[in-house]
Amino acid sequence: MSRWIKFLLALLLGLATGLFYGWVVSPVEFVDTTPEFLSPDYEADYVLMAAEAYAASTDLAPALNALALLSPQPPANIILEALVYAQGAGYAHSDLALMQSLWRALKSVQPGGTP
Amino acid sequence: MNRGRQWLEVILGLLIGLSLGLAISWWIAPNGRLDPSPAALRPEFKDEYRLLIAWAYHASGDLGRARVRLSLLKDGDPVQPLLDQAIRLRNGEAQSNIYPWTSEQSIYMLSLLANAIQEASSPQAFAATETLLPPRQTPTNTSAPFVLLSQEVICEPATPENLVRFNVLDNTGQPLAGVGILAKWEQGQEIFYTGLKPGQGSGYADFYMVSGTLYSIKVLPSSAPLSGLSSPECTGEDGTLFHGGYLLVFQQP
Repeated sequence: MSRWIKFLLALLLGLATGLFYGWVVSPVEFVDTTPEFLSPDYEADYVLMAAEAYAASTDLAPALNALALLSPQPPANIILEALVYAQGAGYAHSDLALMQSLWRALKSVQPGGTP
Repeated sequence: MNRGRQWLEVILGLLIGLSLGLAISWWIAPNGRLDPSPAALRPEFKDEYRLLIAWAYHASGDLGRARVRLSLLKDGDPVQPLLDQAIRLRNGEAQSNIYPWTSEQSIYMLSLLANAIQEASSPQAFAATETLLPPRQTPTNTSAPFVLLSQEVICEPATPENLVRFNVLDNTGQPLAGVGILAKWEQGQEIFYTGLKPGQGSGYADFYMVSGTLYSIKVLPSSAPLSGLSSPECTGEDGTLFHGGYLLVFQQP
């Protein structure tokens, strides 16, 4: 067996061991994160919560504050992303309507985009 | 020598492969099943998340959804963290970036959700679920007005002077957390909530009077006000005078 083949086999064995260790034995644990790092499904639910609270109070300020914790993007864009995810994930029409309602309210503050 | 060099190359290959594998699995492409969840949030952001859950619950009345959301925080018991957060807000030990100017309302929202979960966990609630009765969409403390069930003067030297203790019950006699009580006097007013001293029971709240001041007490949102309440004068067994307190029990009819 040539030296290069031995080296390559050792490299692949090391790679497999490293992947097994990092993915299965000791995977990355997320601790002490900020809402910015939430995965898209949790982000969408977070936006829905903000939309639910807005629907009852029609006070935009808390919704804006909540969205600011989620991302530095413009708030309407955050809702658009969440809406796209929510539609794909099969959210109820009533929930989508709440998010669209918040988006429309924010659109008046920050024009642009289409839900 | 040549054989030794070949082993060195194999070990080098192993080490490079191992390093690459760890770099990929820890930094470049971490395990996809381990997406950051609300449980991984820093404590202050967990507070914000919990508060948003409480406000959303107040808006939708969907307790099942609120419970699922709270479970994402992996706090264990969902009630105690809600009450603890309400206490921290009340004591000024925490503040919200989402609702910075409405801490009284936020305390109410947190207590309201804690109360609803407690109620849903009670044997009566289980019975209702088993018989498929429609779930209650709004907690009891937002509906029928409370009535004064009993007013007892407490003259015990061992208890703090001028302390008014409240016990607020629902229409089945169960203690109710998250009920607001308004105390008014000539120079001001204060709102406080039941359930923020869990060791005393979820329907408990207390308030200190100032001697010589007249108070009007109202259980929110709409009980008849109890007016003319002032610190009672008591006489101890040895003849010494001291100020007593009250135990007031309110219930929903």
